[in-house]
Amino acid sequence: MLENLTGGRQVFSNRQYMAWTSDQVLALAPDPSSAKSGKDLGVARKWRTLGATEACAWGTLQGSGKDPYQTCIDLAGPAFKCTCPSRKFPCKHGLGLFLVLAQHPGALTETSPPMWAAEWLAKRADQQEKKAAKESAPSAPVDPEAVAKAAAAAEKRAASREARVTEGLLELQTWLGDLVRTGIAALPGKPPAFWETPSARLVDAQAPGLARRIAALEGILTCGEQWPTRFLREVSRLHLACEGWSRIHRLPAETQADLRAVLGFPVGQAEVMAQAGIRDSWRVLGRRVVEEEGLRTQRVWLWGRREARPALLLSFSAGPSQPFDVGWMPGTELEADLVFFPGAAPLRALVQQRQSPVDSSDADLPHRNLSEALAQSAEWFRANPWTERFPLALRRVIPERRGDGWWVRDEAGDGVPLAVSDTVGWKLMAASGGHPVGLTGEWDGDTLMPLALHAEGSWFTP
Amino acid sequence: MNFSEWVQTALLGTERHAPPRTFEESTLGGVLRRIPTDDRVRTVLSSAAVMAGYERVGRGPERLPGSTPPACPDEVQSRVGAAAGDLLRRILEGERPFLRSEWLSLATARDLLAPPMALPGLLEWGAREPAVREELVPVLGERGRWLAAMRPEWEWVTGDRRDESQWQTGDVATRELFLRHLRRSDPERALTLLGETWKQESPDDRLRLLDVLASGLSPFDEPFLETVLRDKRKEVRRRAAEFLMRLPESDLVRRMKVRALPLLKFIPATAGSLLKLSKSKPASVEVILPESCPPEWQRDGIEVRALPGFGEKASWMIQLLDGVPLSTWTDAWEVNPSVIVEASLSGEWSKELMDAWSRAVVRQQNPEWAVVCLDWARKLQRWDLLESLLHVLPQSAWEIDLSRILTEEKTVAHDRMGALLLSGSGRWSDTFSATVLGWLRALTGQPSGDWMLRNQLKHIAARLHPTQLKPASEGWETVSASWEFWSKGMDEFFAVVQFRQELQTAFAET
Repeated sequence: MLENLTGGRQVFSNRQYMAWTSDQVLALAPDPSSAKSGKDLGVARKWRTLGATEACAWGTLQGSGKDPYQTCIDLAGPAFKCTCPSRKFPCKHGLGLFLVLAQHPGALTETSPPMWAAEWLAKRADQQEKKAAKESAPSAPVDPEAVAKAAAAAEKRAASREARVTEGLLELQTWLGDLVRTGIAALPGKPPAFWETPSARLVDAQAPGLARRIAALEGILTCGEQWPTRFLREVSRLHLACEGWSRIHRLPAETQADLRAVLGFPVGQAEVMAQAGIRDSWRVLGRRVVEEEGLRTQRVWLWGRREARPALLLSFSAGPSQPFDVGWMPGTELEADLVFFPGAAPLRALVQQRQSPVDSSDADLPHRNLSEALAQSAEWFRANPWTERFPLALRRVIPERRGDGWWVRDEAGDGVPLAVSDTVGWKLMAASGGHPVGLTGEWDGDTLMPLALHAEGSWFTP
Repeated sequence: MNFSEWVQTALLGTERHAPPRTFEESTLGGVLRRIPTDDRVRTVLSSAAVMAGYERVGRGPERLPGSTPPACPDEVQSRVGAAAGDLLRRILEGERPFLRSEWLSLATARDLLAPPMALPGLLEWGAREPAVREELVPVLGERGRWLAAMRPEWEWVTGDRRDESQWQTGDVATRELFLRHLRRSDPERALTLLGETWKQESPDDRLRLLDVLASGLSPFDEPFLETVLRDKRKEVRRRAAEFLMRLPESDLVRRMKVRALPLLKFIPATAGSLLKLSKSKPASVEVILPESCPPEWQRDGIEVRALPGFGEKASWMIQLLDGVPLSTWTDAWEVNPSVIVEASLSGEWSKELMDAWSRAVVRQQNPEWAVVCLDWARKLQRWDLLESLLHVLPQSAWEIDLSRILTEEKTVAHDRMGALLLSGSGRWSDTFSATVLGWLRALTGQPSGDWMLRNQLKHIAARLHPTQLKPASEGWETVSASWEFWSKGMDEFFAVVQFRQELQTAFAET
């Protein structure tokens, strides 16, 4: 991702329109205890020195060490730097400094960055330029022998991988078969190891995508009285993946790509990046972070205005010490070139190049009613049966309570159930007041899990 | 040919249940028929995959019955700005719950409403804590009322409508709120309504509803309260007696006077006389304890059981003195309160009398006597009495008193000082806040182990006058050795000060 840094730090020319609220700052915290520590440090009084320009902010404060800690934020990322020993990212000092900036911008009295901050910022600018230069530079002259050797090694690895996957999937099919043979009614009583073992074996078989979905099966058992139906659906999809693998070379290329993605084969990002980018105004629909087995996944859903299609940006982090790229606020939009991972119903994408900074947008959400939205999701589900979810961006719907559950109703009188807790449900009700509101969410074919709500000109994340 | 048939097979297992074999004449049926049937398990899974895909792609939204429930009417008032809304969210999420009232009063003073997403939290809070409901109602607006109508737990909100059907059909919380409102505008009607349903109320409800009469007490209430004196439940009787004691013309008070007067005898001071070789004696109060506590006394609310720290008979005396208007004594003996109190302290019953006078002062909210008792409480270092006596005086007066204690009397044990400072309620005046700050600065400059006071610092920060917030955030001797002990409490103090400054700023901008 390139930032237009050479234009004299003009990226966010007006600090007001990308003003960060304390909410948004705290959303960057890697875990709740960092958020709390960050809040404690969000007090101007605790900082010895504080300063900011349009592009960055800095401060020093006395910590438990001998010398005061030096903290700096590059607002264009945002990116953080701090001399404290914490391995968390951003650390509590970064969060605290950012909070002071968000809540009391007047407290940042210095106007020109000190040496240590200026040095770091310059280094960052340097790195970004080098990265840009590398990506656009012609490739180095190749040594044919080395290339051939590398290719052969890669082929061998691929072959060995295929063999392991084949073996692993045969085992999985047997396991799935046993479930159906003996009857799934007995499953709710099974211990965690029942699910962990086959999942671990799939990891060994180099099919981590399936491993994740097997591990998630346990969760379906507790989802309510519909669990046998949902369980059978998911298990049959996994069976489909196994069947597909045994005939993979007879499948169309795009479906092969989808199958490999389900299994969890890595796709070379360089290859994906090398494609021609699709330029559009990409609107942020919302962001969800999930944690599974110590791995945190961030899903950012975008909607291309002219293309009238969604894109999914996926990031992974092994824990608090690895940051997510941050700053995806619902309702904001950026002009950018995206490239999609191969598949019959492309969803996952990468940002190849940003053309403009993120800006707020007042445009209507694309889906005029639920029929339209679900019909579009059907196209994706049809093309790639392993699609887990599709984003809906409903222009005017009303949240409703029916019995013990939550629904949204559109102006045609159609509705879909929401997957929300009562706490969130009531907030949605309160925010809408019975009036139609904009709502984005993830649709899995059964329920809609809200991402963000648009009412009275503002966006809310319930 | 329904997915549920396949689910059924899967639940029972293919060993026990054969998969469906009949398929309709359709494209889907055709596909399903082509799935090989040699391996039952594989058949089930493959067919399920086809059907699952088919269903998911074909699924549309459900047609919901009925029509959209009515939307909320538009608000008449404006909402608070984003900054203030954010602060409310932080308060509700547990950051500084004791500042909730401040937020509410700032919003109410400007006629502003809470942001919509905060409403469920506020409604829940009101459901859990009835005492706070009145403060909450002004910021709820149309949206809040609309939302509240959807859940029985939130019915308390609409109790503020002057609708007598609330009284007839609501739950006790709603009825109580209704009655309280009515009591303010039409106390006599409120009493009448309560009297009408009194016999059918449960004992718990009786106590709750009786409490409503506390405001707007008048002789009109007397006949009803007299009947309540005969109630089966003791707390109900006592409460009625308490109320009657607040009506100086009531029959109960007259009865108590008759019982109390013989108990005390005022003996004026005698001047000494050289000739008679006797010393001068100060005035004193002689006590003749009651012999018994007959049933009529108990009906009027006198407890037979001894009060903690006192004997049985002394306890009866104390309770009688408590219930009798203090003017009884100044009238009977024709002397000032200060003379009476001083006289009480010179005899063997000084402890009992001091206690009795103090209770009476607090119950009857008598400022004249309060000043005298406070003086003596200070001299005798009875800090426990100080806390309740102080607030009989108007705020300006007790602030002066406390200021004196803060600045002069280093002898006050600091662990009581926190409780003393924080007794009563409401915002301190500008000048008093400045005095408290001065005292705190001196305090934190000294070594101490008073962790109790340290924990109370954040509450002290909450009571400061807004103009003193900025001075409170600067000018502290943080480098002293004693600061280390205080820093933990002072950190919270500063955090509260800053939060309150944010509140002031947020609302000033709105």
